[in-house]
This record gives sequence, structure tokens and C-alpha cells, in this order.
Amino acid sequence: MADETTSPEVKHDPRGLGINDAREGLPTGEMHEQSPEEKKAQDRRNIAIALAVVAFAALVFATTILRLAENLNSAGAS
Amino acid sequence: MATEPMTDIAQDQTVPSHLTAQPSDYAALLKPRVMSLSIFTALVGMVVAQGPVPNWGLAILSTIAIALGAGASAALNMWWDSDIDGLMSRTSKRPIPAGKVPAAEAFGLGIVLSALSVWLLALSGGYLAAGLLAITIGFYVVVYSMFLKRRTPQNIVIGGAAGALPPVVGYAAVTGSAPLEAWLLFGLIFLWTPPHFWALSLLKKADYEAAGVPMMPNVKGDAVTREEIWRYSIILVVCAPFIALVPLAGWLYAATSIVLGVEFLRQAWNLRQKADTKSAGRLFGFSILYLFALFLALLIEHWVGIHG
Repeated sequence: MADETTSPEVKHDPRGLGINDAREGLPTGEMHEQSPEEKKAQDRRNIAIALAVVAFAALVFATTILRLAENLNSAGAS
Repeated sequence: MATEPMTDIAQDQTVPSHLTAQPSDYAALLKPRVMSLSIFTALVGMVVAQGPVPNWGLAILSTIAIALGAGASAALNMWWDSDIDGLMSRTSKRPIPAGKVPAAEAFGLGIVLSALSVWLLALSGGYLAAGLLAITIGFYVVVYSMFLKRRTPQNIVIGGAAGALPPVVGYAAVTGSAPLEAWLLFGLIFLWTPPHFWALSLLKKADYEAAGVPMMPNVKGDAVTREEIWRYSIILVVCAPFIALVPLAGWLYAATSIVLGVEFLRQAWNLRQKADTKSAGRLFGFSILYLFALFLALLIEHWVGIHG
């Protein structure tokens, strides 16, 4: 009987999920300790996402204010 | 016992590079250079629309929304084409084939940005512009990337419609309408696309061959492609000056389109006669300058007030 842990081709965790699952970001039950470089990269991505969300909220806010002002002006003119 | 396979994985595998992906890798998914062309043509579409731009604040916000939409369609295109991008030298360093960004994340980014860009444009530029942006994204991703690109050498002829729509979207964003004038700008980019991309495909023929993409040189051969480039160049150069007959454009645009059109034809003729990659490269580069110059002429005319 082939030992799953020593197979050179298939690297599975006990639940039958392979290394490709990990690469695709699927749960494999593995624990991964982040290296300092990975932690730094993740922090940068988190900051970028936060800035993007804030920027988009600002865009929607600015659009709403400009639309309101436009509608008020046209209502005042008529 | 249960921990052994995990140790095996940890020892044998190098750290996937997407764990160290930078925000710039995600920004690269949006094809910033292509995005800049969409922004420029959309902006010209706004400026040349009848009458002065009613609200520059909303026009700038609409431009940002159109840029986000262009980026979204680029991310979705990279997600769909990630299998062939790795086979071509021109695209192998893109974030997905380079292993920097997982394909699923590119798909997610593209979908979210598509929805947000259409929503933002609906707020700032109205429903017609937002609908046209949604059609642009859908056409580029579904019609061009998914159906045409790998099936027919006419892929970029029909698919060029997606790249030609931004000035119409821009026009609609400031006027709420898309009259014939706006569609003339669409026609200009639509006719420009085949000679531009077929010149590129002559340069990257081996790439497309390796990826199995049926571009014109791979299917019909280089000679037929050069002939098609010559024919489309004639149609483009003859049609372009006629835009000056409507109030949209004036003498500066007419002169630019005629002078640069003659040079465009000369380069296309050179490519047809010499049949070398150098001529293809020159035509490819000049075609970018040609389109940029025509739109810049329109922009200057409306800025200075000498159009029509």
C-alpha cells in the first residue's frame, strides 16, 4: 500500500487537498508562518485597499454634492 | 502523523510569489497605458460635445469612472487570457502569468471595478453613459476576449468597437445623448484599429502562433495581412478628413488628418512593398501618433474656439 506522505508526485494534506489548492487560496488546513517580507507586502496591500475604499467614498460623496448643487441651481433658476 | 504531509509541502515548495505581491502588481492588471488612451479619447468626447462642458467637476468624475471601467475590462481580459499570456513574450510578464496575482483575484478585481465604475458613471454622467460603459466592458470581455479572439482573424476588426466607444461614453456623460457626431469619433477609432493591430501582429507573429491565437498573419499569411493593412489604411485616411464637414471639427483637424494621413499611407505602402518587420514597427508606432494627433487637434480647436 503506497504511503501518501512519501509519494513524490502528490502532496496532500490529510483531507485530500493538494498543494495546488493552497496556490489558489483554497483552504487546505495548513498553517503558514508569514516571513517579514510577506508581512510587509500584506501590510502594503491592506493600506492600498483602505486608501482605495476611502478614495471611492470621496468620489461618490463629491458626485452627490455636485449633483445636489446642480439640481438646486436649476430649481432656483426655474 | 497528520503533520507530516504539511512538513513535506513546506520543505519542497518555494514561497508562492503572490504572497509578496505589491499594490503595483494589482495596478498593472488595469493596463495603465491602454487606460490612458481611453481617458484621453473620452475626455476629447466630452470637450467636443455641443456647447461648453456644463459642469467640469462632474465631467472629471465621469472621466475617472470611465478610466475605472477601462481598467476593469483590462483586469477581466487578463483573467480570461491568463492561460495564453504566459506563452507570449509580450504578455508573459503580466501579473497573472508571472505568478504575482492569482487569476481568481484578478477576476474579483475586474468584477468589482466594473460594477463600481458603471455605478459611479450613472451618478456623475447619467444612465446613457453608464449603459454605454457597461456595454463597452461587456463587449470587450465577452464578445472580443471570450468569443472572437481565439476564433477568427477578424477578431480585432469587430472587437475594435470596444476600444472605439470611450469618446461616445464621454460625449454622453456631458450631454445625456449620443448623436451622429459622437459616433463619427467612434468610427475614426474603429477604422484605425485594424491597421494598427495588424502591424503589431506582424511583429509578434511567433507569439500568436505559440499561443494559438488566429491573428491575420498566422491564418492568411504576411502578404495578405500587408494588403489588408494597405486597404484599411486607405479607408481610414480617406474617411478621417470628412469629420471636418460637421461642426465637430475645423480646419486644424482637417489639415492634421490630411498631412498625417499622407504619411500614414506612405508607411502602409512601404510595408506593402518592403515586407519587413522594420516597416511594420514604424507603421505601428506612427499609427499611435496619428490617432493621438487627430484627437489633440480636436481638443485644441474646442479649447481655442476655432472648430466648425
